[in-house]
Amino acid sequence: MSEEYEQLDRRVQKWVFKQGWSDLREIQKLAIKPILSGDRDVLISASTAAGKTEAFFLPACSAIADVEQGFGILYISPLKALINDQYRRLEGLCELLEMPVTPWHGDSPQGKKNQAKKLPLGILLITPESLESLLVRESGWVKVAFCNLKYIVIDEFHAFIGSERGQHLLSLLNRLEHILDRYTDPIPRVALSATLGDLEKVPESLRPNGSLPCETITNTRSHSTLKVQVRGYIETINIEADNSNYTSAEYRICEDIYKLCRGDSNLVFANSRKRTESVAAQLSDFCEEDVVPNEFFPHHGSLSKELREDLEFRLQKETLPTTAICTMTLELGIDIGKVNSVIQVTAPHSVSSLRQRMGRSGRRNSPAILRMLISEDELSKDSSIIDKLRMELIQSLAMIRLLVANKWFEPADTSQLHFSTLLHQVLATTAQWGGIRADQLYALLCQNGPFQKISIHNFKSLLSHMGSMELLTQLSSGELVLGIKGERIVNHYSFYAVFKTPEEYRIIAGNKALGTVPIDSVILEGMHIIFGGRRWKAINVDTEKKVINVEVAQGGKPPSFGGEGMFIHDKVRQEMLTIYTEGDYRIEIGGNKIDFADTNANSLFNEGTSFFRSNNLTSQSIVQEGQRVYVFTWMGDKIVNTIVAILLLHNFKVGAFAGVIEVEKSSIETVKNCFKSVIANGMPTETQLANNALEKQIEKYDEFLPDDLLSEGYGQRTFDSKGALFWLESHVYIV
Amino acid sequence: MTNKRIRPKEKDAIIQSLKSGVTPNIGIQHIQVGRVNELKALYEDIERVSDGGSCFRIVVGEYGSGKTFFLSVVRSIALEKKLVTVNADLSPDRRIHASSGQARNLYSELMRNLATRNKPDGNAISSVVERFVTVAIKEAESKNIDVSSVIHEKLSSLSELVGGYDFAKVIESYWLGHEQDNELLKSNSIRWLRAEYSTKTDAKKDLGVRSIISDSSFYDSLKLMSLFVKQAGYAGLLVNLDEMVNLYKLNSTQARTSNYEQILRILNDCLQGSAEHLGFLFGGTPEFLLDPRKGLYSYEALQSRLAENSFAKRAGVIDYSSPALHLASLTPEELYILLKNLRHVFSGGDKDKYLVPDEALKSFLYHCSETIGEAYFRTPRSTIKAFLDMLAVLEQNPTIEWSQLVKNLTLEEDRPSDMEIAIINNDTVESEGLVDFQL
Repeated sequence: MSEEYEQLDRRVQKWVFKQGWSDLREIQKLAIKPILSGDRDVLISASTAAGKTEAFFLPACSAIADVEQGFGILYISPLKALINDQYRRLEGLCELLEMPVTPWHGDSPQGKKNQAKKLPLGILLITPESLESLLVRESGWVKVAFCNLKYIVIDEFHAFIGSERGQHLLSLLNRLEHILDRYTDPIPRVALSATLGDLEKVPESLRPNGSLPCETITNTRSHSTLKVQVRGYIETINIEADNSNYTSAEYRICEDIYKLCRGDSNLVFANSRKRTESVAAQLSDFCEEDVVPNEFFPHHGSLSKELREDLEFRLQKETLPTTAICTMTLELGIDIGKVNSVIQVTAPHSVSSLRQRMGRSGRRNSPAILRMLISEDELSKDSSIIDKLRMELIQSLAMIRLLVANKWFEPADTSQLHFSTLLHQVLATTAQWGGIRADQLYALLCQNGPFQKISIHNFKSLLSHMGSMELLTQLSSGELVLGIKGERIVNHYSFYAVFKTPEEYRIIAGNKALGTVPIDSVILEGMHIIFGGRRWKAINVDTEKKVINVEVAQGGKPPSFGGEGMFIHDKVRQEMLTIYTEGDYRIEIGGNKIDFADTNANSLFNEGTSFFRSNNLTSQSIVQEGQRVYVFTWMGDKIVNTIVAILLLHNFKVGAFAGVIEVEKSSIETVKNCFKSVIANGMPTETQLANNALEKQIEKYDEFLPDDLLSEGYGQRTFDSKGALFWLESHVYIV
Repeated sequence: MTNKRIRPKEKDAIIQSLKSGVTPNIGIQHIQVGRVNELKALYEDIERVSDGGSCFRIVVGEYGSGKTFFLSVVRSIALEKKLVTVNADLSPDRRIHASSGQARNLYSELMRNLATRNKPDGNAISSVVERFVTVAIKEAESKNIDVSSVIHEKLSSLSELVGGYDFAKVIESYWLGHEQDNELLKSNSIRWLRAEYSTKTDAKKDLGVRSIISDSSFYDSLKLMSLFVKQAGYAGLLVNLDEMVNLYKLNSTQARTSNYEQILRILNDCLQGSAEHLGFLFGGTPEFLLDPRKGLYSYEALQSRLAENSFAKRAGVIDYSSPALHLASLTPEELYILLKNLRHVFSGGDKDKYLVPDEALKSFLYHCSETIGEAYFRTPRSTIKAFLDMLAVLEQNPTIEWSQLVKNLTLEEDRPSDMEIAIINNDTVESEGLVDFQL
């Protein structure tokens, strides 16, 4: 065997031999030296089943084989299921090394934890939330138990990048290094990640202060298999409404899901709760008709906890075939094993969420399967321009192209300020130490920690507000301690997690409830939104009752696709534009163009591109149709939101659907004049625009933030004044 | 007092500890100033304890105002009065009520610091037990009866209390060890008394007792101890618990309330007279007492018992008999005497070796009040530290003029925190006023 192999501990070599491996894999060989050296961070990026876990644990276990006190390796994973899985995989190796492995999360056996409490040794497998709870409640023990810590390894690192949870994780690692007094001699961090598109920026999100260099290891030949298909469905305009149920696109989609999914475990992502319910109901009806056991269950935030947990448990057990019809609740943070395939009904929110969802599929040695079922309305003469462009389909195609061909997904939005997570960390750190000074908090969390964007001014205003909310109180000696309310929050079992699924809001017109929407899209006062196939104007939001009040707005037939959901990145819209102008969506691999759409999708695609060409949208970005003006930016939602907010400030009747800005009862000239005056008079800042948003509380602890910080954080997350100004300047003066 | 010579050992102890901001263990009488009324009240308390009564006081003062110093002064008076004293600081790991060993930790700490007049530095528990045994043997000899029956008779009063039977049995084991020259049995008995047994099985194996001193028997064991020291020939037991603010800092409302309940129990026992030869002194900051959300006042039953005397308040006088004793700030005159005392200690009690003249003291105080304002009267700790630093410089560099030093004097502000590990602080933090941040 190779010379790298010789560097491993004897007993580890023995284990490798016992596995019957003829040789180590490429990344495993590459990883041995940098990990054994222990003086740098390592990023191991490879596809699933490429042996990343062994690539880290073989050398790392060799390095800590002789540590006699304290944990040598801290393994952090976003999922409990993954911890249980890794535990089983590590057992054999560690038995040979006589090294204990302790899985540590909310549901892991207490006996193992108690053993590790008494005699911390070997490898600890933990979730970020459990680590937080250890730091807050047993920091004394943490100090002893990790005194000889050699490595921190983060599995599924891509799942953390840029999210609240990722920010939390970085802060935890920083606090851990601080309490162990390892600032001058940092603990090497190893990130295991699926193939990432943009590798250069990853070290920065692994260690923001860069106190250790980072080495990246990738395998040159990636051979993960992936099966993707996009299916199109046409919703016919049916005049006889009574039997429409059997010909509707949704019915046909359900038929297909039933055919594809029965007999195995699958996840079906239908973006709204309503659709989740109707699809699940239809599918269980099918089961009943065929007299087979029902294996289709809905999963979303409004379901009772018991129902959700039953389903999660059923998926975890992996003995009964189960298909969950879910919203984003099953995307992250919930522990289920891998499923056979993933089906996405309607366009996904973002490429990274698509990726995340796809990652749920693909068991060992079988490919990941993703199907996208997209339905578009049959066109009529008064169809909206967005439907005519078939934007939902094109957006889905663009996202798949970016994911598969470019290996790209939305990079972490580093401009975000993460005030909610900062507030959580202030509480956690105060609880951990008992009494702490403001300057120490700032130095720990912001100067040395990951909250480097926070100015002292903002930090002070955050603390003052926390004081007035009774989250913190101050002793006369200047020390900050938890206030009465802060105590209640910290003592609650839900404290340790920083993330939550977005809340759903009820939409009410007058006194009639229309339904619910997740509040993850921007709602500005006076903005037009689409709900239940009609146009509405948002009037105000009642945060307490979680209600959005709307009134009917005038306008033509609304588009069926509103671009619902999160923030579409610039690159997705640009990719859509490319697809339109080239008139081709296929992916080129090794000289062959791979078609991944079925015939229906294909014909829908052709409809869209031909409309695009006939309206000459390549060269025009502002077009008039009847009394309406459409602005095509082909830019991400941040810029679109900014322009919408500006138009609203100038009293236009505006809505934005799928990134297309629609201005009612106006002309190209007036819209252009408005843009020109904005360019001349200067753009409002993001924070100023945010003041107009109706609902700014999105993250878990947003409700405790002072208004100015809330606006600032919201502005950074929602708007992009500079980008919008740049777009206006480069498009308004062209004819 | 000013002419008294000061032993080098005492001088070093005083200077070293004051310089690092802590209260010296010995030689306190050389520097004590002011707070006459408070001391008088506590003196009476101690007399009451030695007469078989009890006392309960919460000494309240700002951070750095000299609570710990005051408690030490009272402690040294108590030792003079033949009391046994125990003292400890509360911390996250040491509290009055707990379920995972923190109360036992506090008890152990108290017993480690157990002091008598002959052993004022602590670690006196074995000599107390030893003394009990010798007294018993002497008594047996004079009355010509069996030693064990004397011991039984002396301990019978203990057996009636909660956990008293095992306590008596452990003392008996010590005596057996004494008789049989069994050092192991003796040290095991002492270990038991110091609450260093963590499991009942071990205690049963080593000493044959069914119980140990645990979290739940914290107060009962102190009561037993007070009766025991009385039997050993001392006047009583004084318990000093400092840094009570740690209870205020507890993160769990429930844990805090349980601790306050325990304090209430002690208070009731002491003020109703059911505790004998036992005194409690607690040191805490004003928020520990007064904060209506997290302090002692958050506990209704304690608030009514500890409330200030409204008549005294209206009359503008202080009721020194109330269980909550608020330490008054030092007056400028008292501070002046304090500095004089310090200068005296520094010179080893030799007037001719004074490093600075009287006017230096005045200008030092004047400078302090100019730069810091009235705050320095409330917190003498930093003033003392700065003064001693100045004397140290003058001692090593006799050529330097004191007036130069006073002019360039800066008082370092004390910034307490529970976070022990230093973090690198950029200068910007200080310039933007985060250091003196107020909510």
